[in-house]
Amino acid sequence: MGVGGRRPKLTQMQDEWSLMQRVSKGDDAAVIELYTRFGALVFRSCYQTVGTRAEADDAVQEVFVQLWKTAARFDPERAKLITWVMLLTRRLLIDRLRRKQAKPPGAALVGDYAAPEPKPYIDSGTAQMPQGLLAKRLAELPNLQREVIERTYLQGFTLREVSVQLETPLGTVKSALSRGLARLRGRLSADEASGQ
Amino acid sequence: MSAHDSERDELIEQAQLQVLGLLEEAERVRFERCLEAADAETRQAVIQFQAELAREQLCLPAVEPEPSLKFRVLAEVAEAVQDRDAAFAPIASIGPASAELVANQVSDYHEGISEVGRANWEFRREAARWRRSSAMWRAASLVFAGGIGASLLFYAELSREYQALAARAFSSGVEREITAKSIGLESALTWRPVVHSMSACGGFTGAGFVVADSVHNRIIPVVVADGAGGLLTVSAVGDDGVRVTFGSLRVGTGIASADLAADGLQVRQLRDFELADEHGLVVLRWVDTGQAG
Repeated sequence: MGVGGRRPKLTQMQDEWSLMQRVSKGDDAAVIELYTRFGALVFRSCYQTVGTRAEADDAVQEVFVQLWKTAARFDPERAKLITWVMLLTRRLLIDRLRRKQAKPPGAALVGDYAAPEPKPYIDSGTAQMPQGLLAKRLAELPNLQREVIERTYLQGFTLREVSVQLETPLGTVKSALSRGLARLRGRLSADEASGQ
Repeated sequence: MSAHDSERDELIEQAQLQVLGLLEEAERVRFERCLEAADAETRQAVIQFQAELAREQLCLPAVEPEPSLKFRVLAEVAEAVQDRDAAFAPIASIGPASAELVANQVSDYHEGISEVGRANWEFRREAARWRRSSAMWRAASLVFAGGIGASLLFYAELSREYQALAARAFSSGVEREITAKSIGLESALTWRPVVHSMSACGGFTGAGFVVADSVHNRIIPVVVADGAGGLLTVSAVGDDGVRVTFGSLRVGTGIASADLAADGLQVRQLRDFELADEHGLVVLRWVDTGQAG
């Protein structure tokens, strides 16, 4: 994926800003337009994280109510609308995962690293396991990269929590996450290009 | 690799984590500050990269949402908008839809969209739109307040007109012959003669008439009563046959007028209207000409 890009057209920025202004006023037509543009993407992201249609539906509704609440703060000069929408979606999903997870005693407080017992793996009863192609590509990654991605992206743990769980320095966990994500995206892009 | 490239790569790495929601709050704030401080080209590259990553995510499953989810999302947002407007409405709203009603309407869309469900939802949406339009409430309030103000001005004008007519009666010098018609009181919008003519009794001389102001439920006797100075008690018999005293009318210079409250009495049904002096002697009495009432 190339990281270079052209400067966004002013009309696109105006269009996205105008849409979110209308959404912030509760304009039904604007909410419909926002859903039409991003509803399916938000749903897939929710489904990937929560694993059931019913829970994904609930999450999508929560996302769009939150989008309405924060619409007036959208700044097209700082991010594109799709970034804003998916960032908010990810945050809500992570919150949802964290609410749902039964964390080990003492692991909740950031900075308190003495109490928690190292946890070899996440409780499979509460965590969403990767499936299909994603599971296949994750399995090809080195162990640390795979575990860090699964625990952060799919299970909603913070990097600090993962660092404690895996008894690995925070810097190493961050590096593993970045490298793992880059490698994973590279392989998934190759899969997409080859039509797999 | 130059410092610029290094900075850009670091931003790209952080941007990736941010889009996936993996940055902690402090890191997120630091990333946003760095992004703002970066040059325009780097900033645009990062923004573009984030948009691409946001669209791709990590191999999202190929599932589609149910069509009904769209309507449930709309209903949820509409309800949130309605709740917010109810909380900030300057005037109490008609009332938010009950939770049960909302739940029923939303459930219409759970399995599919029936015509009845669609109609219910459209109705609810319109109702929500009406409720949330606090501007309409403000406008209605202004119209209402304006109406009250106009009414007050209107009746103040009527009062001034009455005073002018009374002054004309006093100055007309139409002694013993005055009638509502002769001094133009009949033309007043809300005033209606209920006693067209009164004649003197018991050796007194005089004449008079009474108009009723049905809006304020009062009567206004205008009399000439020579030789009957002082207070004259004004009374009449109502429709129930009971005589009611309205109050007193001071006659000083031969001709007098006063506003007397007629609460509890249908002013259009007065009969046997009398003015009596302090000894109870009737000075003026209603003349039944067949016009009264």
